[in-house]
Amino acid sequence: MSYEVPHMEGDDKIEFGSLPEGGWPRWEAFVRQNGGLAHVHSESVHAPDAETALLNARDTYLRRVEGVSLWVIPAGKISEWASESSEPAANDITAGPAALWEVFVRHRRGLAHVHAGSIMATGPYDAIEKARPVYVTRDEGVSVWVAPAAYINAADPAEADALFEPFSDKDYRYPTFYEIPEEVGYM
Amino acid sequence: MSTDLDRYLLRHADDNLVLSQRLSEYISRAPELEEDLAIANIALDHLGVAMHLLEHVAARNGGDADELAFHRSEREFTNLLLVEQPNDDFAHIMTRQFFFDAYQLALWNALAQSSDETLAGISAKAAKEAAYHLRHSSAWIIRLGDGTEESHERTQAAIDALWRFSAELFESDQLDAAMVAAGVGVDPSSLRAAWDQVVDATLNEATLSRCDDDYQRSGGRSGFHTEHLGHLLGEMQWVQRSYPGLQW
Repeated sequence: MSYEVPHMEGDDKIEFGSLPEGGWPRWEAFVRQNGGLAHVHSESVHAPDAETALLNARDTYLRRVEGVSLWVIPAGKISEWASESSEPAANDITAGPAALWEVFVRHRRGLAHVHAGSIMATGPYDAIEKARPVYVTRDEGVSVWVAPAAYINAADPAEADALFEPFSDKDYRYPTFYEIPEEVGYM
Repeated sequence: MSTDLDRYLLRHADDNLVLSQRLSEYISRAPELEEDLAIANIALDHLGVAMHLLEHVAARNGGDADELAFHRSEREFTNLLLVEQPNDDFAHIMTRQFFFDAYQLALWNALAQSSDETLAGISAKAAKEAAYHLRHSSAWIIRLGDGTEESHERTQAAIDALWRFSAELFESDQLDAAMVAAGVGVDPSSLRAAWDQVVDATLNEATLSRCDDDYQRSGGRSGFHTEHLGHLLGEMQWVQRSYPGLQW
C-alpha cells in the first residue's frame, strides 16, 4: 500500500529535520477532469512522500472538481523555461541515460500548465531544448515545464472508483446547496 | 420501530454517525492543512452513509432521519464502543480509524450482496469510500509506526489503548443471525479473517505489534456505552433538543 519513490542518481533521502522551511516538500498536482483531454495543473500540496502527496491532492483539490485522473510531481523535479524570464533556460545541464520526460505548457499568462506530450531526453536542459520546437509556437508569456516521467505518481486507474467517485453525489459539499433565508441578507 | 431490519440498519448508521461526529470535532486541529481536509472528507463520507441508512429506516416507519439522529438517548444508540472513543492524539485518531476502516471495507463488500436492495446500494457505494479510507489510514499507520521514536511510541500506545474495543466488531448475536437467515445481513465473525490479515500486514510494515493484553470490552450493540458517548451526544444534540423541530 505504500508507494516507492524511484530514486535517480544523486537523489537524497528526505530526512526530517532537514526540510525546507521546517515543513514538508512541495508537490504539484495535475488533474484531468471528466470530459477533459489532458492533465491540467491544479495547485501545490505539501507532503512527505509521493503516496501522501497523491492522497493530499485528492482530498484538497478534488472535493468540488470532477476529476478522473490525478498526477503529482515533486516540485523539485520540475524544470522550467519561461520566455519572459531573464534566466538562461534550465541551468541544470546534467545528462544521464535517455529517459521519458513529460512536457507541460502554459501558453499565456493567467492560464494553467497543460500536459502537452512526452519526449525522450537525457536531462532537464535536453528536455527543454527538445520540447520547445515541438510544443511552443509563440514566445510571449509562455512557460514550459518538464519533469521525468519516473517521478510522476499517477493515480492507478484500477483505484479510480475509490479515489474519485465518492465526491460525485455529495451535493452538500457545494455552497449552492444551502438556501440562505431572506432575513440573513447577502453573504 | 423495532423490527429486526430497523435495528440492524441503526447499528451501522450509528457507527457512522458517531464516528463522523468524532472526526468533525477534529476539524481545524489536524497537524497539517491537507490532513484537516482529508479528515473533513472522511467525516462527510461517514455522515453520508449514516444519513442514507437513517433515511432508509425513517422511510420504512413514516418517521424522520433527523429525529433518529438527534432525539435518541445514548441507551438507544447501538454503535460500537470503538467509534465513540475520544480524539486523543493524532496516533489515536488514525488507529481508531484504521481498525474501523479495515472492518468497514469487509462489511460493505459483504453487504453489497444483501437481499435488501437499498442496503445493497448503500453498501456498494460505501465500500468504495471505505477502500479510500483504509488506504489513507493504513498509510498513516505505516508512516507513524516506521517514523520517529516518538511517533512509533505514540502509535503503539494507541494500539494498546484501543485494542480492547476490537473484538466487539466481530461479535454476533441473535439479530445478526436473523439477518443472515433473511439474506439481508452478514455474520460479523465472518469478517474477522480479512481484518486480521489487513491489520497484521500493516502493523508488520509499520514495525508495530498487536497489543499483548487481550482484555476486551463490549455492550455497544445493546446500548451499554462507555462514558464518552453521553458527552458526544450532548454536544451533537443540544441544539435540536433545545429548539425541537427548528428549521434552518
